[in-house]
Amino acid sequence: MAGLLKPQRGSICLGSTDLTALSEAECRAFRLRQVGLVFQDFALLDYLTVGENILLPQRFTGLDCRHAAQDLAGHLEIGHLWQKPAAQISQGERQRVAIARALAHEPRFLFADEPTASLDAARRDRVIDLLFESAARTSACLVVVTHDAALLPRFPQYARVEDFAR
Amino acid sequence: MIAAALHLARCYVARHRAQSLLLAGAFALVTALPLCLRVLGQAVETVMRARALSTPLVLGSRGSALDLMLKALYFKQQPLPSLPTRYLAEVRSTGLAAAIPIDARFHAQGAPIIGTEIEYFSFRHLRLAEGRMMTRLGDCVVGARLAQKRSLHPGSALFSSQEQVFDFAGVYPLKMRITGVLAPTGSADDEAVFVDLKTSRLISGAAHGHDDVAAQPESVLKQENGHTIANASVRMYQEVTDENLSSFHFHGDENEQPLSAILILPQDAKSEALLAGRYLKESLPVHLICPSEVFESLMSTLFQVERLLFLVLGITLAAALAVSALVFTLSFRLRGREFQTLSDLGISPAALRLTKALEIALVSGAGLLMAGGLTALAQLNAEAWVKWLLA
Repeated sequence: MAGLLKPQRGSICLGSTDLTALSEAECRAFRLRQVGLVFQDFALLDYLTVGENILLPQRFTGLDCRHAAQDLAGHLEIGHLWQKPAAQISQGERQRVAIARALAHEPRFLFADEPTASLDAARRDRVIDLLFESAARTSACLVVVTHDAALLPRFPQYARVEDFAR
Repeated sequence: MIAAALHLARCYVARHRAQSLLLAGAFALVTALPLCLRVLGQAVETVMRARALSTPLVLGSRGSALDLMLKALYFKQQPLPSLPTRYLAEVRSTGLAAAIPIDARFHAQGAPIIGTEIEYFSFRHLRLAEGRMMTRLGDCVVGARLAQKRSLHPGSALFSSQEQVFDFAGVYPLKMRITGVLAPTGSADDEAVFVDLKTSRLISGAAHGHDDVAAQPESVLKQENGHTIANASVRMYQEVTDENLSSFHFHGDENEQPLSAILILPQDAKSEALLAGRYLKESLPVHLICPSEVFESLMSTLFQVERLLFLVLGITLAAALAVSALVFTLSFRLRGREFQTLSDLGISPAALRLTKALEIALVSGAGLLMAGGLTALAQLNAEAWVKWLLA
């Protein structure tokens, strides 16, 4: 859905944009500006600080959203870690940095891949709350992939892979 | 894009500074080594050539011309047979050249003792930094570096060394009075001890001083062929003083006293050619060398060795570059997930390639800077290092 892979048939539309109609370069540019990705393993660059990780996509787009990113980091309670190397923060903090990176440029679409995997129930609820809250704050469309059926009631819409298989 | 890629590359290198420095250092060493070698080689050539060019001819025992040049010009401990002093008079008698004797057979705690005549100082443009020239038997002046190294100054003393460890009953070490310290010249003269030729003979044992045997008849063992043989109670002087100066006397034929070499300063080209012809015969026990020619021959041999060395260093550099390329390749492979993330975020392959290239450029640039620094350091100090090495 994020345009990382090209479908062999059919099309992928995000809003009014048909990703399959875009060239590779255009698709990347669209993803960089319009899509926020939260990876399952957070995929932070350990040699960068928390702030540099959050602003990483913006360095390549040239957008200046430092203040917005710092506000977002404060809201996610990681503002005080801004100058700290990503290698030195806890797992929970890494998760929030990954969310902040995905939202800092205020994307229209936010994709989160198993964002609550390997978390206990309390932390899982907090992360989901955070995602909803952050997406609402930036008016982003939130798409979450999860194996946790307990989360389903939290979402207004969901689709089971089993349903497609059938 | 360039700024972002540079930022990423800079952050990675800074975060892994130890590994990056190690890689840059290795690169710097293999790059700087041939450069420094070339710089030092040029300095050796400059320093040695200047001395060789300033010495027109050298007369010495027949044998290796290179050994003779190294002994006479740079005071190296070459195994060189000596030549009798009569050749000094012979050269002078031709009226074709000035001749300066060099007796470099002895040492004072590792420093060469050069027995010569006062003309040597004007010939080499040596001047005193402190004190005065030697005026009496047993006096010496020392080179600037030697004086600095051993804290020697006018008024202090220096002992000659015994040349043979097992020569217990042989020549006693001579305590020499230092009367002056020479100004630095950046040549072999800076590390030498200069004495008058007579003092050099005193060190060799050809001259000595002792108690007056006539005043101690009990010490006389016998008279034989006009020689007085005394027992061990007669005190031999190891130091020349104003009081015992008159007791010093020379034995043997002065013309047969050994010299290491004779520096010859012809009046003109014609005199030089005439002298060269005079000592051309292979049957003569001595030969005349032209230091500049010997030096050029030495340099041509060294250039061949240098070329071989550069070839080896070139191969080493290529190997180091190959290893560096392997290190970077493996590093980028290990960081595959990181680059995949950047790609997934939407960063273009060109930007990723640029990031990798800039990382390599930063490390290589640091290596080149270090290599440049090392070479500049060698360039700045080459002459001093070479003079120190050659002294």
